[in-house]
Amino acid sequence: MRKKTVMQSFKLLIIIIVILVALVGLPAYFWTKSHVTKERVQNRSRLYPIILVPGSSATENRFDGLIDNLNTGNKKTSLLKITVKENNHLRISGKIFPRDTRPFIVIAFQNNHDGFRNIQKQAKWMALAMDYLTRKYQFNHFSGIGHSNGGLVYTLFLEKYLDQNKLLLDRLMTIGTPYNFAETNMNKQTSILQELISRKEKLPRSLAVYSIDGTTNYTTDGIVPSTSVSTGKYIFQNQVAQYTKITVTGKDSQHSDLPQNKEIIQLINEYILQTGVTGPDAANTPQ
Amino acid sequence: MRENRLWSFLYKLQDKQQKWLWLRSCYFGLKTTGPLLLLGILLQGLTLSFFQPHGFFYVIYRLDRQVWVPQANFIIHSLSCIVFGMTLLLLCTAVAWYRARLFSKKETIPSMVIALFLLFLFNFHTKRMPSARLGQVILNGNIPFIEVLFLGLVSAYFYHGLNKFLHFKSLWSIAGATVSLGIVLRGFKHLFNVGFFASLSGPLFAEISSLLGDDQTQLGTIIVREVGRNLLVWLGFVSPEQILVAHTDSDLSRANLSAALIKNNLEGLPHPLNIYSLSDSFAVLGGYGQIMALLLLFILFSRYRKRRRNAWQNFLPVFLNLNSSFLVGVPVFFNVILLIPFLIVPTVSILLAAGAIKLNLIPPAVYQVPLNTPTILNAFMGTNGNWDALLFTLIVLLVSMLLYYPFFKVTETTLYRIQKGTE
Repeated sequence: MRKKTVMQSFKLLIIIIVILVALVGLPAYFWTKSHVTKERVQNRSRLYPIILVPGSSATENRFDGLIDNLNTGNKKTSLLKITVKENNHLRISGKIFPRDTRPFIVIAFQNNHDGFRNIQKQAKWMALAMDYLTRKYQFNHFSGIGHSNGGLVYTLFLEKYLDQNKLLLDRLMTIGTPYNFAETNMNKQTSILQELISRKEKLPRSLAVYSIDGTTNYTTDGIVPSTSVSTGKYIFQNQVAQYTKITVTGKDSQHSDLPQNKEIIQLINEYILQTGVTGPDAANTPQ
Repeated sequence: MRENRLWSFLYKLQDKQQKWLWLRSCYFGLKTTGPLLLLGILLQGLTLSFFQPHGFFYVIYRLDRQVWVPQANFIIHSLSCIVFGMTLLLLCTAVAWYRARLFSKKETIPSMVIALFLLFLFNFHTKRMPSARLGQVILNGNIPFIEVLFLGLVSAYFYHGLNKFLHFKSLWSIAGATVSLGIVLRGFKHLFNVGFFASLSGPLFAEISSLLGDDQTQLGTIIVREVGRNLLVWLGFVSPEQILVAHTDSDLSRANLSAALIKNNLEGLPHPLNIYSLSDSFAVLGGYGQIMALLLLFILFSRYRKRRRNAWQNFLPVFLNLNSSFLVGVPVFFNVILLIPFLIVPTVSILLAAGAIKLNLIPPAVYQVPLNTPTILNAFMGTNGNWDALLFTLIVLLVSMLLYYPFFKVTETTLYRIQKGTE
């Protein structure tokens, strides 16, 4: 008799739970999803800059040609250039127009030499410049382009200095970045690659990375070996939301010509510039 | 052996409690007002969840488009206030009546009148604003149960004392003494309200309030806060209208929310362990004291149809975290047997949740939830629909039922013995 009562109560409870799931659980689930997406959009700052970091030996003017090529329409986008000096002071030129939401910002370094130690220093200087920029312009998300060793500086900055609770990098495009320096054997890991792999868990989970590899022949762009660019997969693959490697060949695919390469300009237009304020998040992130 | 001793001690304690006349009077009052309170709670649930902007059903069913909702909100809210007022009136007089009846049948009516007078005097407010009325009695659902029970008991004891020891017989002398008592009690209430006692022992109060504050990240302080709050609820310092509000607006929750919105995930948040992610998400399922677990035990395993019916009647309000009607129906107030799980179960739930968050089994709740969201969905909705969080909530509920079960059995057995005794 008692067992029967328990079973009856249990059955009734199950029916009620099913009804509650249908009438409450599902609408609540869909509301939460749409509410959080809306909140994410509202939380983003209107200013959504593209921050470019040149490679070794290059100055703040490295991307002038690229930006001229991107500024083909009637509306010119702003360009702000920062050079971080060795004494940690910033030299700033250019400006961000008041209503421009997608300005270009170039961060270059007075000490722009090659080498593991210098790149580490440059990542630290980049953090200094970023701190200045976020405080002055109050933005909380940005996109990035790094050419050559600029891509290494970017990756080191992301792993060591980016405060993900305050700042979001949604897309990063590295152009001809030698993740394994000049080493052609993928099985031999140089110090920079080892460091980047050891800290890869610190990379933003929602980041989309596009690694562009230019080749004048089957193995190199004249300076950076194709295999070195490919080792980026050991850093980004299964770590960030999306990692795509693209190979560009033909005219202007020599290492120093890459930023002016028409294919690459088209890729920047498509993957970095032609994106909504929301970025790639909704599809890529689980929570 | 030691366990047996503990249970026999609990049985003895329960038996002893049944003999406390003041407690029997309180329980009589609570039982009498139970149906009316349930009606008030259902009306309150309707207005809070369906008709108030930011209410749970209001937002998930998008009721903001319905033009009739504000009017319905006004009507249902007014009705619930009236019902709560009537409930508290009935409770106060019922307690006074029952306690007086245990003294003598003759003392019932005067005690009830005194109780009514004290209740009105206690809740009479004057407003100095020229446009407002000079004085008004506010009897809504904001008065804690303890105050109403206390006034009912005081009235019965007071009249009995006047009658038996001071031999006050005339109407005028009794009325004069009652007014004097009312003034004294009102004076005490005023002293409490203006913070006289708080300023007397300022540093101590400051320490306690800082310990029980909302922005705490230390697991220990979150637990102390939860235990302290549940102890106060057990003592009746809870009003029928009191609702649970998730701490999504505290500084820590805001910092977490901001970080989660920027990085698009819930990993590595600045304050993963906080009141919202622990206490609000896992320790108040169905309201204070993880009462949903006890309600489910009543539904599934109680051998008494009356108890099962009471639990079913309270299922919807408890699902919406409005559990004062169930706390009254059991009753949980002053019940020494149920005090133990009432304090322990939420504590264990907080510890389990903290462990799961630390071990990255579940993410912490961060995102805001609508007002009066069923707490069983807080972790799920606060993590943007994370299924692990929902599953873990159900596991916590199951563990809570297991922890409540032995104490539930004691209350069942005691009830059986009482019923057998009365037969």
